Amino acid sequence: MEIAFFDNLAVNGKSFLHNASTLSKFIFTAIIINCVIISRGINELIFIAVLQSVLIIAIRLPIKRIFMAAFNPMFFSLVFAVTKYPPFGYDSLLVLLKTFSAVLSVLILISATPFTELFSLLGHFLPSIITDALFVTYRSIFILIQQLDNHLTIMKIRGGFNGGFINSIKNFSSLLGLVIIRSIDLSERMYHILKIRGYKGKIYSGKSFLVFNKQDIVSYILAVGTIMAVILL
Amino acid sequence: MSHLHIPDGVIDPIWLILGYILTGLVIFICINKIRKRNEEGKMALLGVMGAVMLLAMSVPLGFIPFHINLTALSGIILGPNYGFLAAFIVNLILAFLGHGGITVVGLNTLIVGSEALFGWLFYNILKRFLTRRTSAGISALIAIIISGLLVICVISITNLEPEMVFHLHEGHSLSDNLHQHSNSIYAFALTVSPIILLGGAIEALITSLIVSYIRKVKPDILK
Repeated sequence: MEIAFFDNLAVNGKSFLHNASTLSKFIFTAIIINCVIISRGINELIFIAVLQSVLIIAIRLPIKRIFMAAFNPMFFSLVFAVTKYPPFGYDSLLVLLKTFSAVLSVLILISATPFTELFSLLGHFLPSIITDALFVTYRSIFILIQQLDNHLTIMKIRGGFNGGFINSIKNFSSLLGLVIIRSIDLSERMYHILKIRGYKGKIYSGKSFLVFNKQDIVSYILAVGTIMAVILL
Repeated sequence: MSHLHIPDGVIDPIWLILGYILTGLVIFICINKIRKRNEEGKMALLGVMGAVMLLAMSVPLGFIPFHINLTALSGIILGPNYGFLAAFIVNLILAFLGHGGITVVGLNTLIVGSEALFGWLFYNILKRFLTRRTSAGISALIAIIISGLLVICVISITNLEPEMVFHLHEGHSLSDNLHQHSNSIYAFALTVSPIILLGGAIEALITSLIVSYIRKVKPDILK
């Protein structure tokens, strides 16, 4: 799953963007997305995409893999672009470029910021039950990926996907059922552990989001530069 | 396909803001109901079911551009309040991975959340007359069709200029615009409907088989 790949990039990266504060990266992403939203021409969008590509190279992220991940969500946009503006023309290209730049901006954010820090920042604006559930979801994903992987391998070795489509679906559903039952056991155990540790309806992250360090300057300069370029182009 | 994979910058901001306001309102109502019923203990289950949904979404069906999402099943297991919160959590994480824009999370939560709500509702109605397995399958199919229709409706409404919808537009022929608009929506609906129906049927089959498995192994989950 992509989440593990991006989590690895965010946790092990050592670039200036990785060291910048979560708030500055969040503001940078929000500004870039806003620039994408207000852009009405291909030139602005190409400029943003080029800037993002340079940034990806500068912070030493695997550009090919990130581009592949960005192309993935473009299928629905293609359907939308073709049906909304037939035949494929300037407006369709505009939709696709907007998709590409917007997706790239969130991918840069999650490649340079661990999910726990993002959730911690969101915790200042969202209800505690949602923030806590976000942390639990994030923690559970890796446990469940491991479980699903192990069970899928066992199933393949034992010929669980032989015997036609219906049989495969039946076995796959039983596998998902097993994962759900294990997940519910896991959630009960997790809740008891949280209770023992003094959980009273809020997980404390212990970090203030209003921090500023010198690496943040680059994020803000890039954001302001993009706004000016979009206005001038 | 039962949620909008539309990125940021395509839908007019007014609809995005409206989506967030409505989602915020529903979340507020859900959390209030959870607190009144003292159901906060389900928080860990909410997180884990969110992870199960994300995991299910990572398994593409291969021959059609559709992935299962098990939202109706989450609604059946978690109930409507937690089901809606699960939809929000999943959409937020998906948006961070580029599957649907950050600005579209509000609209997407309304669509996917409706799937959890209708899955739970129809399951509880149908289980009085049918077996739990059949009820789960049928309720999942109905919920996916409804959310699919909501996708088409949302695309249809958000594709219109807001001025046209709120009757503030002047100077342009409204009928011409609507005619052109209905053609593009018709083409869109024609493209996505078979995918939603086929994918929905497969997800309904998987949901009913999962419910059947849970009934055999740990039936108290479905009580």
